Amino acid sequence: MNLRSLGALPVAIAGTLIPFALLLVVFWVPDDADQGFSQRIFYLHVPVALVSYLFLGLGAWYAVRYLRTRDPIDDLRSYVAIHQGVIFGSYVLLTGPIWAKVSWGQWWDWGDRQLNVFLILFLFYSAYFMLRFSVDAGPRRATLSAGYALLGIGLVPLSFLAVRIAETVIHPTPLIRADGPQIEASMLVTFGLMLAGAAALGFALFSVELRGKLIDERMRRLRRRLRGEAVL
Amino acid sequence: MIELETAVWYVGAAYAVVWLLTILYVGLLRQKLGRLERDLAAAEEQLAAQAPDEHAGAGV
Repeated sequence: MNLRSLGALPVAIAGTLIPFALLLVVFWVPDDADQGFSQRIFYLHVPVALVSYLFLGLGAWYAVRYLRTRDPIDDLRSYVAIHQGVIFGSYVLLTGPIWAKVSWGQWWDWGDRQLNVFLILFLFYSAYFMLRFSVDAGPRRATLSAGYALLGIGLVPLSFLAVRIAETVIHPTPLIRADGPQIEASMLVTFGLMLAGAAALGFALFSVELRGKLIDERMRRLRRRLRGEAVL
Repeated sequence: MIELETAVWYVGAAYAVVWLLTILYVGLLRQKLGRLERDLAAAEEQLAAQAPDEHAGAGV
């Protein structure tokens, strides 16, 4: 297995950008006027949320490709992308309440649309794995998984737009409006670097996990052949 | 506004949680790749064990 196949480029990008962005978070960005130092959770929480959306979207894209081509690799790509989306989604659900607690004194606000839509999105895609592993491997499982992946994808833009529609206390302003960024340049640069680093980390993990799944599948076929069983 | 020391703890906790979970996930991936390597070695051994029989069969 060569380095390229393990996603060496995303690993290098993530390994460079994330530590650099962390240094900026600690030493460069100013304290927020309202929230002070605790606003620094923003540089982690929002990028991982956007990366979660990205991978859930990618999962749906590969699901469409699978339904068009019936190529099992697209099914596997869809599954691994959704897995990454859920992993990054769990980061959002862990960092969000910590931020809410330090800023507003409560872990969760059941009245906030953004929080609840994201929770529904996360639970919906967590159930994807229950569906997938309750059906035997094969075209039927791949088709059901692809259909389910597509059913939930409408929640992604809804969750993303909820912050703009609601504009509640917990998510007061969108980052960028039509009239320009709503935060200082240093904050925007740091956020951009962290977003790029988180996306690169996501692609590195996606690449390694997908490669592992593909090798696993080949090993399974090899073992069947060694046992003298027919391989489809 | 909350005290700086308290805020630092919360910010540190948020970053630490993500860091630890990522390390855990990478550890699981590493474990899986290790298992695949062992499976591959076992398959190679099995193949090597079968090969002499096949050669013997081919010679008859």
